[in-house]
Amino acid sequence: MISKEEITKIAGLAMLELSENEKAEYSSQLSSLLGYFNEIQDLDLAGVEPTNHALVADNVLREDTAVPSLGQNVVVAGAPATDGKSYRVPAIIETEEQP
Amino acid sequence: MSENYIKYANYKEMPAHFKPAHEIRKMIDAKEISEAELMESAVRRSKETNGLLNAFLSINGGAEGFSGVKNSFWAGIPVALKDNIVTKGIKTTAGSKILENYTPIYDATVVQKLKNAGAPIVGKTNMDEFAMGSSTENSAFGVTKNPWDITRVPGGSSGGSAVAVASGLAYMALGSDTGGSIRQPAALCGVCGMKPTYGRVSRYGLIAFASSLDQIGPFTRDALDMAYALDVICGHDPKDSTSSAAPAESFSDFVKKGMDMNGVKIGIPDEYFGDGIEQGVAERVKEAINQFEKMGAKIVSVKLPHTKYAIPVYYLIATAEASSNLSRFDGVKYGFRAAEFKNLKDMYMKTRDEGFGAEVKRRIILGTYALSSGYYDAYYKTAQKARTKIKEDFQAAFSRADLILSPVTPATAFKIGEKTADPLTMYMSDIFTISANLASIPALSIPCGLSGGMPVGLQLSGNYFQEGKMLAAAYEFQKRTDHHLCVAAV
Amino acid sequence: MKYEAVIGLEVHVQLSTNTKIFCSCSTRYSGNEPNTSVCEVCSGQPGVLPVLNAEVLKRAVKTGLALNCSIAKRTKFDRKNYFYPDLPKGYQVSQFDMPICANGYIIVNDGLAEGKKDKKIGITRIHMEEDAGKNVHGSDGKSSFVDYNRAGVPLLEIVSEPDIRTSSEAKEYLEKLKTILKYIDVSDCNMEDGSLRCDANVSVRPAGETKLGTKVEIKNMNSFRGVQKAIDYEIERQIKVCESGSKITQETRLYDEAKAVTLTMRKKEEAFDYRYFPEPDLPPYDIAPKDIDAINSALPELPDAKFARYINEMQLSVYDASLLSNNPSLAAFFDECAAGYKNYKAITNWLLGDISKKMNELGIEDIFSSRIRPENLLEMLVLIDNGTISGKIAKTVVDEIFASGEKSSKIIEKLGLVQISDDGFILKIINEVVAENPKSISDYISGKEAAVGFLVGQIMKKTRGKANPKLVNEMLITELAKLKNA
Ligand SMILES: [Mg+2]
Ligand SMILES: [Zn+2]
Repeated sequence: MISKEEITKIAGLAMLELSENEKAEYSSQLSSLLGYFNEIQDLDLAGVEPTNHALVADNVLREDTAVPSLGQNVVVAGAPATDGKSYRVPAIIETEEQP
Repeated sequence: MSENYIKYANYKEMPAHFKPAHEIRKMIDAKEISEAELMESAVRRSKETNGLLNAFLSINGGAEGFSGVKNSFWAGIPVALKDNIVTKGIKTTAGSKILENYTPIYDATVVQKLKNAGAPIVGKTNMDEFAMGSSTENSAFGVTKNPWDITRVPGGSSGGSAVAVASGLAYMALGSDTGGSIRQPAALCGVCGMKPTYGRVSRYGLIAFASSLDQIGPFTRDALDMAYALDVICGHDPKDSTSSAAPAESFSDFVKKGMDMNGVKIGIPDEYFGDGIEQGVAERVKEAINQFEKMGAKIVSVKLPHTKYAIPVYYLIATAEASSNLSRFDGVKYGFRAAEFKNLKDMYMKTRDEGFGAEVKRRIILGTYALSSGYYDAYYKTAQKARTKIKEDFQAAFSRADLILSPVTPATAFKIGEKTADPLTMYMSDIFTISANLASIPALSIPCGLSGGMPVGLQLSGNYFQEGKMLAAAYEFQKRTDHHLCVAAV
Repeated sequence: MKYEAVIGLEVHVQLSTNTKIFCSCSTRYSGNEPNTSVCEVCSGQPGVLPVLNAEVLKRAVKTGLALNCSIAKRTKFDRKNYFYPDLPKGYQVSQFDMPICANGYIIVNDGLAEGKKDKKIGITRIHMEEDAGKNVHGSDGKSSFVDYNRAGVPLLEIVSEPDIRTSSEAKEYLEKLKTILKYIDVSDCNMEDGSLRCDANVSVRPAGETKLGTKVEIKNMNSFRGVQKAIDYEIERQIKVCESGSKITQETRLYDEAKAVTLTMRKKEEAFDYRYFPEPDLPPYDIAPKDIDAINSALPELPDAKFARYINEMQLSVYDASLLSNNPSLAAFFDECAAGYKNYKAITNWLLGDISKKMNELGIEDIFSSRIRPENLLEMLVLIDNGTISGKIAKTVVDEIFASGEKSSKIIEKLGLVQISDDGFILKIINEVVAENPKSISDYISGKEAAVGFLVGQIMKKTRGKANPKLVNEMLITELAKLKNA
């Protein structure tokens, strides 16, 4: 069972502002989903390696050779707010937000 | 009342827009049709039908796309792209409000390959937001309709691409398949769709849903076109560390050579033929099995004992990866930003709340939960281990069988709105498709008849990098059957 | 009650590779406009994928070996999820449970201050990760501006064991770490420009207690001196809290350089849940023993080994050996000279004396970025040895080498600095000086030996320092003896 409080905490981690209705809805839906998902707890998985990666070849590397970058006007142009050179965001207050 | 479909006796009888690309190629080469006419027709038909079907989120003006490439199968043959494949200078939304005004600054590797091959792009197709859904009802830009019955869903999440090919709006369309998002809409719309082996096609430029499951693949009219499509999009990409260096043979040459089906072992997983399958679907699939047997294939029974865990495993892994992949949509660099906010955190919270739709938020919450401290081991890590068991099931099955045959979906296309209330019911409809993504194996869907006037799909899976064998078998089937000649009356 | 501090350091060093860790953008953007060394990958565009820079993996292994770590047979990347504007993807690609290196150590206090003992500071782990961009605060206080030039620059995070007990030990650890990293040429290691950054975990406990106290993390220190001062302040603050009977709160504090205090940034309850999970876009990396061996055998001689060699094989003093071995470029210069000249003490004296002084004056940190080359110094030393120039003249030669970079012999010729060893000429000058300084002569005769020094000085002055001082001394004493006995 996932409480509304837990949903609020999780939503905070995911940076989602949810309405009270959404919280209630997700709390009940996720509770029933996880109720069903708990089936996997029945599996005997002792000694089983997790599949951390899909079918991949190991050791994929790139040479340390620079190629020209895209340029300021290209990258910053699509942003919702800029000063033409940098992305503009609401003031960052370091003591509150820096992780 | 006229039928909702037309069954042609052969490709010759079909109007040009329904013909497979390999027929169109011959016509272009014989100067029976021009590249400009093809594109003009595709764009016109797409515009005419979009009000009804809503297959496209954007349609090319029509003038672009001819690069003068010669000696390429796809040169001049119109194709469509799912709107989560980034196209430089062409708006790419992934079906989300949060990207409603996003114009990419680079091309996906598959787009680069199609451009190099001279294939003009008709437009970008509708999809469930960020590929999260099985019905294309979760698009921020309206539902896509099934051309066989516009009260029904086309499947999803690549619904727009499936409809584009099913309605003769493009000869080939690319989709992405994370848990069945190509094969399921292909089945529900009566066309061919394939999810290649993980890594076979570069993911560079595919807006990520679940990185370890996502794979780009084509929709086509038949298996030979599918081989041609795979020829052009597959191959190692130095920009995608997970892209495979496995050599890619010419799939079209391989398929055209023909395959002797005698003694080819086709595995039937018991677990896929239980209760809950619509009778018409079960019958069509059984008929297909009989057909393969008639062609000389040996039908063997295989076991995939962890099938029942596939849905939880899939939804835990996919949502966990998605919760992280979708963090970049924060209103800072591109796309939508909420109009009003008090401070930085408020800007993030409101942008993401307003920018994402309900299903996306539901999955972000679920995935964040599965990764959060205290639950990681019980959910995410357990799911990763169970995924290993599912992979092992398939390796065991492929030691007994060359190919695995199953239904694609338990039922034909459902009514629009029918499953939106309960996410679990919706998730359950992916039961036959998600295992291939978890196991990283290739799987394709081809039409195998109708049930209640709606198309039924047949799924063929193979072991890693066995696309050639799968396509050849599918083409042998199509040479002897006419299900693929049956098209929606659009 | 007596208290003891327990300190662990987390150091982030930028690797000085040509390109970023996961894309081919250049890392040489210093001084450029914001967002110019940026592409779709490092700006976090939808659909992009990372590809690891081979040089990053190599330098991580190199660093691990130099810091006595064991190198993982297999390593992988993980995502660390959090939202911050300088983080383009909303997660940092880092390493969680399979870091590239673990279980190393650094030895500090190695003899520089006489009487102190060597101490091993453990290194828990080293991992690879990507740097974030830079937030610049707007002048209006309402906006901040984000620059992704730094986003994706490769970092090594080097985490020490809580083996450090004092702020000066912390400084020694950082200095030693910096020296080693400079030796192996993986990073510029400049705290002022941010290529080396340090966070400290500090706790206190009653002396003799073995259990750890509650730790506080300190961030935002911008120099080694700042690290020292922040730790000192924090230790004192924590002791005061303990003595007042209160409990230390587990928290993160920011160091305020101007006020030299630490201030609460975030309490434990607000700790982040980073939701680490394996990065699905990057495959794992297997590190073959033969690759480790190859990197290991290409490692340069490291400071501890150099120090020992200077003492044991070259008979340098502990102090000189320490100064030289802790300065990678000076040590390299010394080694080059020592290969062709056996009076190691003479080389050391010049390097640590006049040459270091000259470099300080000119603000040169790396001797190889000055004009002096080992062959210049060697030639000069030989010229002193064979009497062509005096040690005093040599100082002028050094100045001139720094100015022009010319060969010592050429400088001597150009400036007419060749030592005068002509008896007749020197005698003539001696006679002049004797005649001009009757007071000194009578002082000498009455037994004031010090007058000799003055007279030598006068002679050298007359010859503008070019007279062979040894000869001057000998001849003057002979002449004075004659006068005394007359
Ligand atoms: Mg770090
Ligand atoms: Zn870049």
